[in-house]
Amino acid sequence: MSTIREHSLIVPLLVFGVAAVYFISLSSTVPTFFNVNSDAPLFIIAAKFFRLSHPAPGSPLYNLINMAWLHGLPFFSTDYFSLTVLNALCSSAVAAVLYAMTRNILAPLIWLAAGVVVTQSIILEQYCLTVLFMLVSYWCYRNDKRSWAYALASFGIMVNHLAGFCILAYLANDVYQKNTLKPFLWSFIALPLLAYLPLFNRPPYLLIDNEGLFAYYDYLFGGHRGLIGGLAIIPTDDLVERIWEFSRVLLGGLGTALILIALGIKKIWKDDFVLPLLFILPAFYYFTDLDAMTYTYMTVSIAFGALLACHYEWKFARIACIVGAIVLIGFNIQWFDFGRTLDADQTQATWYETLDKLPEGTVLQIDRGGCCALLWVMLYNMEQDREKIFNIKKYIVDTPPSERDKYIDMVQEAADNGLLYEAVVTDNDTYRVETFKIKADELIRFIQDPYAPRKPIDEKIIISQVH
Amino acid sequence: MSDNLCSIALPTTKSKMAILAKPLILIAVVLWITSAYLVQPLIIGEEVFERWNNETVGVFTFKVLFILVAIGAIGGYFASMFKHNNTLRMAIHLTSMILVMMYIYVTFSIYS
Repeated sequence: MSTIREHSLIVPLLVFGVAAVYFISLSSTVPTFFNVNSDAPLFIIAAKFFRLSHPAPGSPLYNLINMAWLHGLPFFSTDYFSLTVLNALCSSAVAAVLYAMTRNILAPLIWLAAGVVVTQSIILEQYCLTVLFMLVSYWCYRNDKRSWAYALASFGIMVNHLAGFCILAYLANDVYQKNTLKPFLWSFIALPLLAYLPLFNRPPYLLIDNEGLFAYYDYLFGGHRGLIGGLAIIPTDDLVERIWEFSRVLLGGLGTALILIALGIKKIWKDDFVLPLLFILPAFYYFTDLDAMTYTYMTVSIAFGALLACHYEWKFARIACIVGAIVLIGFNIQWFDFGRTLDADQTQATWYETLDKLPEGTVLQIDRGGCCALLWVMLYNMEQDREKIFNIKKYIVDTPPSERDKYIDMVQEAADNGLLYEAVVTDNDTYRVETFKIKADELIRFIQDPYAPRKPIDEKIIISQVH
Repeated sequence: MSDNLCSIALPTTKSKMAILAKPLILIAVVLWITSAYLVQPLIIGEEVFERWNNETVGVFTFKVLFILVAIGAIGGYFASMFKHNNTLRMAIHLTSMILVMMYIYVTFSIYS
């Protein structure tokens, strides 16, 4: 029996199957605004229309896999659900790999119980595949297959830059251990995949406006430049808030397992600091990042934390963790079930339908519609095969003040012709977004100073609502 | 006592830690579930959504802190290579300090 448990593929496959049922049953079948699902439209655009997606760094491998999946298996009800299922399967594979690496049910249970993992596994996101690459890479490294480890981490970066932490940790360890650094050269093997960017950047240009080299540089590094380490220490407002958020994500994700993780780190630190680093670095990265939405990076720490928890033998604590995780999985089914308890009103789908009712040549402002709504308009235009709706927010923010006059003229003209609209979140709890025909005055003030604090929409500027 | 924590705390006799370990673990499970409940509004995006575009852009960020620490650490490393040459060691420390002050001045100037 123990031999079967240690060597056979039956249990990992079983873990994969159970996890797949768990994640897919909770998944959203239609697009949603919940779970900071803001990148989903970009990934659909990339997979369906062969374009670029989120710059992290362009995710070429992720997009290629999505393309193959979406066009190879066209029997899903929506493109969104198709790619979400792929994400759920990647997350299930992570659970199976965690079991295969530890031969302990505790590791996959921690992964399945963590709320942040569940919310990122049941929408269209890239983190689960990134974690999968990182785990397999670390598995190779642990088994002294260092060239494979560096190469897999390199391909992981082509899904999301978080996989770069693997290379940093391996390199630190190799230098410290005075190992040969030849395997490190395999870190560059996936670089040719970046050719995806110029090949798939074609009209209508969405994220890189032209073929200039600076535009590519700005795409790859511009967006993240102000975010990494950008959390203000003084003034302390955001820092205090981040401490509260970080504590909840960490405690709510790993809980009792943190005791085993701390003891595990203490036990293995002197022999192997790679695993502790892979647990600590992504968490620290999130903690110091300006963008509060990057709590999603904690999925990496949860996976490597699950491995660490299995490094320490303490039967009572392990059983307590297993019981706690099973209870939490039960709660997760109640808390995060799309369509039943989460997003029962399908607010994204309802709002997306209103875009059909907007006239040709609409100028739409989505600042108070949140990041969630912004990129869906991009997908809408791609599906219409024309720029039916001019998404003005997208252009204003990156335009210098001296060049914003043309947008003021555009807004004024649209208002005169009754084509000026704004999408606004009217209920934060349910993410209800509604679209209103508006007057030009306030939007012009916004164009002049797009970084000024935003107030709730003034009813005086509303002409009518789109139903 | 099979529990390793207890054996670390006190290998021969039951310490207070050993007696308290199991109840503490059970309390930790309750805390885990409570934290998981409390983190819900954050991880479904409700909390961060309200703050979108409203993060405070401050001058003294973690990035600034990292760079200051890096300058200090590199300066300290070079200074440690000249332990027996007080003049050179002090010169390196002074250079680090000037670099730190210059960096702070430039950062604050850009911000203001």
